[in-house]
Amino acid sequence: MDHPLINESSFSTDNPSAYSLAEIWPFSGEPGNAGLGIRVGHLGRFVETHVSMEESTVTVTDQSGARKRKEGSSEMVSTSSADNLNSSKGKRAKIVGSKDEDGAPKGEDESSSAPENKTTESLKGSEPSKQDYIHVRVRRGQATDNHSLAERARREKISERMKFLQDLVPSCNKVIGKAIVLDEIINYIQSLQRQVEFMSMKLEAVNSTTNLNPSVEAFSSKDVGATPFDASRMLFVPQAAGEYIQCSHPEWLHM
Amino acid sequence: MKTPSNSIKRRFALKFLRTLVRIRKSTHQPSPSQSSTWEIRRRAQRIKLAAYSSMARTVGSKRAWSRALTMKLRAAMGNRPWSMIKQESKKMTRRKLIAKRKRHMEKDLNSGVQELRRLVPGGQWMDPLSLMQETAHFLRCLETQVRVMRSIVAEGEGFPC
Repeated sequence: MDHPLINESSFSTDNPSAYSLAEIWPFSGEPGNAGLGIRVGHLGRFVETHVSMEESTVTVTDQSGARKRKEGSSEMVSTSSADNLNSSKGKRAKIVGSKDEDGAPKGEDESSSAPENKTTESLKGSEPSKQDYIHVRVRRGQATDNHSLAERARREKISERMKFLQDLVPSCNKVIGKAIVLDEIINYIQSLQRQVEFMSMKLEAVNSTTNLNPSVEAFSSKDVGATPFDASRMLFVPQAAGEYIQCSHPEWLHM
Repeated sequence: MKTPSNSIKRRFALKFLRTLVRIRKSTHQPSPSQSSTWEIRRRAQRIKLAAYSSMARTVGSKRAWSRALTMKLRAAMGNRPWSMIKQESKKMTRRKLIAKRKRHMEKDLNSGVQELRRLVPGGQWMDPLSLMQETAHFLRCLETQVRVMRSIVAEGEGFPC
């Protein structure tokens, strides 16, 4: 993301579907979207989807995504966009609203709308970056907001992985919060390590008192799916990378 | 990819290696009729190390934690003083490596991943993002390991001699 989010190419005529704001700013078509903030949110979503995929098709803005953004940002953003609407076109930060309110920008307006969209981005980029959106990827903002962008992306990735870990660990399904999840994970790992230790002690006892060999086939068939394995082959060809080694009678019955 | 393919294949390989090593070790053991506690503990320790080493071997060199674990185990078996720095120094110079670790330590003061770094082998040198990924993989493999060990124990105890 070292290039500005909205460059000229994003509004070139190659992608006619990408920037027809009328599609993306349906003033009356969206369910549950009534406020100004929503529209701005849509625009942001448009921008972000456009940027995040390198292609030109930004067909449907995520309605769910827009709604999520709405919950978080409608208050903050709507004020800024209101300011946008009311000010003149000459200033950088206040252009988009008025233009967009007039209706869908026509084809000839693309080039002029490009900088305006940029400014909206910058304005909106500053506001939401103060809030913490958990599920929405907010990659709005200009090159000046590179740091917050990178920060946001990084945080997103971390939280995504954290969620994955949460699914992995059975004990932290219900909790929410990074610290608690981390603690649970740490506890779980420690308990697993303790179990390994315990099992190794048990196995030591088992090994010293039991002749394990006759049961090897039964064990392998039970655990593995009815395939006995070949010990000598394993010894000489220790392939760890998951090879399904077909087997014969185990060869180490030399007690 | 975050999820290890803990399919049967991995379990196989893990079990193969570990069972094999264990059986061979046990056949070469002296008769344990009157072993001291210390000997018992030492044998259990060897088994534990065998479990971890075969797990690491199963995973191979694909994962950072398995590489780190391998180095650690080698040190533990050989009882040689070992430093992870030596292993990692292939990729970076020593100074950069230490600086990297310091950076991670400083960055993580409030985030609570310090403990995680201690638990996951090789965690001190990873950035938080890849640390999460390695943790997930490590966790899955650890679960597999415990499960296999448990089943082996169950088998062994079901056939007393």
